[in-house]
Formats: sequence, structure tokens, C-alpha cells
Amino acid sequence: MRIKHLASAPVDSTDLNPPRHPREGGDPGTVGFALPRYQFTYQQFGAPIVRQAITQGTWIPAFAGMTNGNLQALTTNFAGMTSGKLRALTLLVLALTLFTSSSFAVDPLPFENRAEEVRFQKLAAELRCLQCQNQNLADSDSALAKDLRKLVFEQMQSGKTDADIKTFLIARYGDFVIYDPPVNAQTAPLWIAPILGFAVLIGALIYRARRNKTLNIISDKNTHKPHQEDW
Amino acid sequence: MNARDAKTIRWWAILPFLLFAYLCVILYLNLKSENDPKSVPSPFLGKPIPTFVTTDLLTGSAFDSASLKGQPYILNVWGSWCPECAREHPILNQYAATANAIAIIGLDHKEVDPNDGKAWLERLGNPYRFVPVDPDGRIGIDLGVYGAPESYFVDAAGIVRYKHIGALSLKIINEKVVELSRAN
Repeated sequence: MRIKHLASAPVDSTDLNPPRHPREGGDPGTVGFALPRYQFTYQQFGAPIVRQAITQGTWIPAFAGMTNGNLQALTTNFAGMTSGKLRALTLLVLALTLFTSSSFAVDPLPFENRAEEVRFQKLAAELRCLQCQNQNLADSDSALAKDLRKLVFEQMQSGKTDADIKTFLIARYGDFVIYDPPVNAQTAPLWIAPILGFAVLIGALIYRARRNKTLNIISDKNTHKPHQEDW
Repeated sequence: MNARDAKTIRWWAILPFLLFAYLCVILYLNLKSENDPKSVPSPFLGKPIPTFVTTDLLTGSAFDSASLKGQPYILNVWGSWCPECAREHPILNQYAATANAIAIIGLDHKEVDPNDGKAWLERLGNPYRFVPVDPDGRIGIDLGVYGAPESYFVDAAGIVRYKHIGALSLKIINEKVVELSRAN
């Protein structure tokens, strides 16, 4: 059977060709720093083939036995599906998300050389995306992250140092924007507390060891009994 | 093992339970507190709000934020693309309609098409005294905006006294406006 109902969008042939870096013959106008890693993950698992299968209505084993009604239900709601089919669909969707995820968001940024690109990526990885908060600036696809990447790039072009750029962003977004928290009055407890806690623990252990020794010597003298462990 | 040692052992045994109870209390308090752990404190609190020059969405004339100095105001960052802003909007309308309401300035942030912003205000009402535009988001970056809606409560001296992330409530507006006038 065919599953034309799953995706009615026409096949976009450009979509099947992952973006290429200008150095590798890609179009510099639309492609920025698509790293080899991104392209690799994309091609490796045959994502284009799966996508083509769906959009062109190729038979997929996971959907075997489904009626057209079932598949129509897929696109609108999940009613009427058996758990087995639902599981198959879930697996397929999960697999697709695996294929399409990339570790770097791609912007059209015209880097002059590889060193500049590496510097940009390193800096972007040290800055936090404030919209998503669990991602860094290099990873995130949010609108703000895109704007900030552009801004970081422009500042790099105008000769600003990494420290300058970080200071610029901290002045606007606070220390939260960098992953490496500075030592100041507010963060001092975070740095001192573990050291202090550890020192107290060590102190307590030494105190106990010394006291036990003394007690044991006294009890040895008094009773001549062997050592007793009390903990 | 004498009686003194037995006592020390008992004291150590309680410690994990004390720690557990302490953890429970801390977690409970944080669960109950209204602080959004995702909201990032603004570095501009207690400092002058950055000034910006742009145009007004509705009049098309030049807008200089420095001209706002001398009066307390609320700078509300919105966009017609932002669903939470639409949810917040009736509250701003409601506040703007009250007597003695301070000015609300609506920064139209990252609007793709100015007509979208205009239509949005026409449809939902306009509580704003001025509507400066920020199409490329650069003003937003200078203000440390990381999502809309965000609102800055600025006193007459131009100092940011409070920044609210997310939709405002009438209660918060009234509370913070009182604090603004007290700051002077």
C-alpha cells in the first residue's frame, strides 16, 4: 500500500541535498558554516531516503496493514489506531527526529578563513542562549540566538576581542549569558562552600581519630583489652 | 564501648535525617515561591535604562527614548508574533484606562512587517503612549531582552527599578508603580 496521505507536500529536491560549505563547492550566498559534522550525520543514516519515501509514497514496512483511513487519521488525529500501529509510528517519528537533528545551527555567515570560523564556534559555544537556556549560542536555533550570533560575528569583524564581546553581552544580559561564572560577592558562596564543607569534614575526622586514639590508650592501660572499633 | 560513645553515634545518625528535612524545606519553599527559575535578573536594575533612537510605528515620526526622562514609565516589549503578548494586552489596556496610570511605552520588537503591528494594535486596542519600533531586534539586545513580553519599570530619573519577564498582571503593575513613585 501507499502512504500518500502522510505528507501531501510536494517533494522538494533541494531538501534532499544537504547544505555544503562554500569550500566544498556550496553556494556561499545561502550556506554559512555548515560543518562537516553536520553534513556527515545528515547523510550517514540515509535521512533523505526516508524523507523521500514518505513524501513520494513509497511502501514502508512499519505501515503495512494500515488502511488509508488509518493513515488519514494519522495526519489529523490519533483516534482509531491500535497500540501496535501507534508504537510503530512513534518509532518512525523518533527515528526521523534522530536523523534530522544537527548539533550546529546553520547561519549564512561569510567567514574569511577557517581560523575565524573556529574562533567564532568556540566563542559561540561559551555563550548561553537566553531563550532556551539549556543550549549554547552555537547550538540554538532560536531567533535571539541567531541575532546574537550575527552580532558576535559583526563584532569579531570589527576587531573586537573575545573578552570585549563577552563584556558587551554581560553588560546587557548579565553573567548568566556566559557558562563560566565569575567569582564575585554573589557567587563566592558557591566556590567557598564545598571547600569549607570538605575542610570541616576532614577536621571532624582528624578530631575523632585523635580522640579515639587517646581513649584507646587510656582503656588499654586500664583494662588491657584489644582495640575496639566504634564506627 | 562506654555511654559517651553511644551518645556520639546517635548524634551522627540523626544528621542524614536533618539534611533530608532541610532539603525538603528548601525544595518546598522554591516550589511555592513565585520566582520563575527561568527568568534572568536584568543587569540594568538600579541603573539607567539604555537610550535609543528610532521611529514611532503609528506616527512614523522620530522617537528618542531620552525624551521620556522626568516621568516614570513602563517600557513594554511586544510583537504581533508573540502569543503571550496578546494574552497580556487586555491587562495593559485595563491599566492604561485607570486614573493616574503612568505612561506605557510599547517597543514593537522584531516585527517583520510594520503593518502587522499596526493591525494588531487596531484589533486589540492601544494602551501605549508611544510605539517605538525595533525591527532588527538591536534595541532589544541593548536592553537585554530575551523574549517577549518583557516590561521595564523606569522611574522619573530614568533608572530601571524592576524588570518583569512574561505577562504582567494588574496586581504586579500597581505594586511596582507604587514602588516607582516611592523611589523618587
